[in-house]
Amino acid sequence: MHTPPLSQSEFAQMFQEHARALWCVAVSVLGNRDDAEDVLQESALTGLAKRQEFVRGTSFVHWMGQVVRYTALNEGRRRRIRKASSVDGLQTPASDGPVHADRSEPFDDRVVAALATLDETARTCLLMRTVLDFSYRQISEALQIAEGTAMSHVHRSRMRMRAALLAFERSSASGHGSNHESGIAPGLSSGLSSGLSSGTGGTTHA
Amino acid sequence: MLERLLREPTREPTGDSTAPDPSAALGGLGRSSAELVERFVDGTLSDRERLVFEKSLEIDAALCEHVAMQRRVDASLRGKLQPSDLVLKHIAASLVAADDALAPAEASKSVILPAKKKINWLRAAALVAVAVSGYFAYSTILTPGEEATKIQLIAPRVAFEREVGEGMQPYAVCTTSEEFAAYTRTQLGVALKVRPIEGLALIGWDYESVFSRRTIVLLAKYHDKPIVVFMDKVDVGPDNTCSEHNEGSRVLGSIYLHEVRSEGMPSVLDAFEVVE
Repeated sequence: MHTPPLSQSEFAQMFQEHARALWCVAVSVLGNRDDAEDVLQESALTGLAKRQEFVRGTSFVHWMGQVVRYTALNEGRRRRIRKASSVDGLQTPASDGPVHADRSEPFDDRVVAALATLDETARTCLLMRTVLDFSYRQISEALQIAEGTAMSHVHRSRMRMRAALLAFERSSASGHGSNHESGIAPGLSSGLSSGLSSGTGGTTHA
Repeated sequence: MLERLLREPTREPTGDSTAPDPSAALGGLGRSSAELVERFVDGTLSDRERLVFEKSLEIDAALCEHVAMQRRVDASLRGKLQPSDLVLKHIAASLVAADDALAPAEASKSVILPAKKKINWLRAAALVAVAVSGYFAYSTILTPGEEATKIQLIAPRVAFEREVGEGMQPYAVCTTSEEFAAYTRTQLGVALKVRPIEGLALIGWDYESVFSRRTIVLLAKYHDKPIVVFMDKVDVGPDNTCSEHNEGSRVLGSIYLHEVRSEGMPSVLDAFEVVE
């Protein structure tokens, strides 16, 4: 069925309504707040140009979420290539090597590292639920998955993260253990927390 | 008590049953208990379930540990990964201001529809040529990734006149120097501040596609006369030479600043400094 394409202002309004959920999709792929904002902006322009492909009456957030996701995946790929070819990239320890946790690492960074061990959909569900306070129905609509699946992702993600972080704290207290034992993937904190630590200053919500 | 509660049917999430059960790593806390921890922290337990759970917390140290950890994790995620509403608003606002070149459906209609009225071959051929070139321009714009960024940029002077014509209305306002620094850091990766100058009043931020689609615009007045400073990353390749009399530019670290001011006003670019 042919429906008239969204006007520019309609698109902008719908985008604004769902911007937080779309941001969540981007940050789940990239794991980095600043990169997610860049990608969201790029995706917004791509979506605007492609808006005649959106079918009225279907889920805007799901359609736009796909645009954001693919843009974020492309951006992530580009960044990995750039990193691999840079001097800094060569100095990064191999990800499958034994990396011992930095015990002075702040708790927040360990949480972000544990988050990175989850698969992308689980991460998106968890962030939508925890950070955006979305109901399972809202998550289900945004990602076009069953409510029960969204619930399962959130439940398992929380269990995994809690288990990893508790194991880390216990091993820290006993003076043994490493990232491997805690379940926190080695080398992940560097990639994820570095971006997250920047740009966290308080901006005005004008 | 908790055991009795757990024997009762609870909402068991469905999903990928082939994945390994993460509750195996929960140090003695069963899967159902783990779920109750989350529902307790989420506030989704029924009154009766919550009462029983709270009683169990008084005597079960492991359960307490899990509840405390879940609260810490949730608070950490909320603190660390909260989107900036200001930035999201800015992105949405930029869509309204986006160039009309990004509206291909309407643009192609305006070219093709008049063609139906004409039967002259020469005119038809010319229209086909326009349509083909339009298609290529359109497909270039629609290609995701780098190509999508090829939008039409406007000159600083034109953007200045537009801002003045629109009454210097900002999309966002920073009320303190800390907010100002945070805003520039978020947008451009470098925190900036403005040294106070007598007569200079900052109005707020706007957005224009001047040097790139992400050029941020600082609206200000100097002795009640408008002055606009465009800021972008220096690597977007803006032209440093200012041909206009009332324009100026400055490179500050990795940021390119370009001001357009009203007639007869001095430059304010020296007032910008990087926050250490």
